[in-house]
Amino acid sequence: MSALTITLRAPGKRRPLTPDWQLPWPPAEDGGTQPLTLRALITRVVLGEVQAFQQRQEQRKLVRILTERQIDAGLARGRVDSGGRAPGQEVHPDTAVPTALQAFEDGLYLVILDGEEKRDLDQEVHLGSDSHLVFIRLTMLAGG
Amino acid sequence: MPKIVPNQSATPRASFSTPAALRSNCAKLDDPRYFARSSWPWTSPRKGDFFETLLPGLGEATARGWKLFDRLPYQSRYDRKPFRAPGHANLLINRRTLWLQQLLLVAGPYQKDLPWLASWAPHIARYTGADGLGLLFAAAIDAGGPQGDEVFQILLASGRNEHEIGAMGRHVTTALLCAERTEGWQFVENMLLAAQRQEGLRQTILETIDEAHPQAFRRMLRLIMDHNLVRFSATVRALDVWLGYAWDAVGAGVVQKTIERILQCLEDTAARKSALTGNDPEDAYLALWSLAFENGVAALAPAQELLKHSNPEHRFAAAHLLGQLGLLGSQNALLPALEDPDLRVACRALAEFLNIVDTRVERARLFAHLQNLLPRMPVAPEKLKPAIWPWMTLQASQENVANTLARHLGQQSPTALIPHLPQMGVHERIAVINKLGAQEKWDTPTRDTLFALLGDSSRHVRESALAHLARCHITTGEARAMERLLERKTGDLRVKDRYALIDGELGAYSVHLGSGMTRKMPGESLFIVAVHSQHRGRLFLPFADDDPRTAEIMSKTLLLARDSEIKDPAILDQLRS
Repeated sequence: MSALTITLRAPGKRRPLTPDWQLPWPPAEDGGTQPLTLRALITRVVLGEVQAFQQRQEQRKLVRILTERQIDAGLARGRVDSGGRAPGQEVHPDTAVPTALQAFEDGLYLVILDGEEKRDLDQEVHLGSDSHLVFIRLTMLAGG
Repeated sequence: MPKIVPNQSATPRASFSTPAALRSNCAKLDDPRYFARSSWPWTSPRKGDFFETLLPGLGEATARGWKLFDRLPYQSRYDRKPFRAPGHANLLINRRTLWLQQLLLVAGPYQKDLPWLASWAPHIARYTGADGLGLLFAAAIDAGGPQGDEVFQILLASGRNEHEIGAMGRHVTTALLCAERTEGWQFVENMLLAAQRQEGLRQTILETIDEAHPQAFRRMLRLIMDHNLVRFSATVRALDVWLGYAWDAVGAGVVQKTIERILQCLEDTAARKSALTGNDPEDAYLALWSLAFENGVAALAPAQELLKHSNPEHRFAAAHLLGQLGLLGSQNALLPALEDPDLRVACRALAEFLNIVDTRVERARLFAHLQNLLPRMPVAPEKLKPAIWPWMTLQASQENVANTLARHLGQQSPTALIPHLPQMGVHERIAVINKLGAQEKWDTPTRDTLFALLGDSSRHVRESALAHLARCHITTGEARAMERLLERKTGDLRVKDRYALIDGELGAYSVHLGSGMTRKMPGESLFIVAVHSQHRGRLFLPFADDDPRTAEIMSKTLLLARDSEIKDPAILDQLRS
């Protein structure tokens, strides 16, 4: 099973904040014959993120005893969290995916696959065994 | 007696209305027949004489001043060395013509005699003008006679501040030091010793003594040693000027020793010879320098000989002096030095060819030597180990060599420069593109190169290549390749010192990578704000950086990189103002 690596490297920093995020990519699911579009790629990434978010929420419900290493890691990030809180916002994949796609069309972020910017949602994308995908956040601008 | 007669159809003024015309007329004066007279100096100026035409009433004095240059230095660059070239009129023509021009500007308008000029000099001339008058007076003093004496006395009184009209000025020091009268030299030496806090006076005297009478120079060196004048910074400064040294905070002992060595070389030919053939490279340099001080042309042969020394620092001393000589012979002698095994010697030789190269130097030879030097140089600029002196650190880089190559193509085809394009600077790449484009017929390498340069990192190079390609017929395959290259915009964005520098269509911009402040070059602020509040759901995507400031900076950079696509009127108004 090949994996898609998502680079979470903040510009200007030498080492990544968190290790490169790996998204398992079962090629069998796609049937092999259908080409992969940017739309499908973004969908898959969003679904993966939503799943991870829901997992973290579950974990926070439980109170955890943190090891020393976990406390240090928390300090580095800026927050030491031992859990024990009720889940905050509800998140649903059915709203998350259209939101992300709409935001892409509005130009709120860039998608860069293997050094090339992808602009068209229906464009075909080709993933290799060690492809790198980067999402860069942008904002709206106004002259003043 | 042969007369130099200006073009009969033109007025005398037309013959020297431009510096070039003046120069070509002056060159005729070096015709030995002009000076072949039975009596010297002239007893009476003749009408129609060249100098008399230029400066009525001062013709004879000017002619004498002209002759004086034979014992003065021949260089006139800002970093000139006090090397002389007695008897080589072709080398002296530059300084002579410059002097004539100065005189015309300063003395021309007044049409007065020498004593008048000597009194009024401080009021009508400054700096180079004063030096110019000083030389005129020096020649008059040497001529002697009642007028010469009168000028001499006026200058002495001016120096003492005892003259009614005259006053101290550069014309006094220049005149007294360049003339041959020892009382004049004595007078200036006394002034130097009594200077006290007037370091400027000390500087003026010491920094011009090397361009004065050669004997006066030797006397001054002795004076410096006898009276321990090395305690003054003006002395060190002067040594820097004479030798081209860059001493700053150096011990008085070192300065004293150097002056001793120079004096020795100047006064004792045996000592000079042993310094030249000795083990100390600096001694060898000083020996060559003292040779050149008397006669630069005579120093060529020993310097060339020293270039073959086994010790690289000796070769460096030779290359350094050859560079300072600035003669056609020295530039030719430096050509093989470009391939010296020691990179410092090669770099010193290269430095000479970065300046103006005499047109008589064979370009094909220079080109070949430079091509051989190129691969030996480091790609990124590197400082080399100091040679002989601690401040003599040269920089080695391929770019310098490649740029020099581009400038000295000679008769060869510009395609010879194609392999060296990647190492050249932006201006040189553009120059090569223009040469390639200007060819009658473009061969395949030319075409391929011009197409490849469409993808160059500099926008100016790309534009230049495009301008030439626009005139030629393009095949479909080439068109497709062009499209791909034209889409790349790598060179339009650079990061420097916490700023992102962007080259757009409508202008150049900078974005501060910390605050996000944008500016349109050259420095006006651009007010662009980020609008964060959005009425939409949260984005579940693994962004490389969630920081909203980063998002703002990235957005601004992209906006300005494609500034021709901006439609926001508020931003466009700012860009256009």
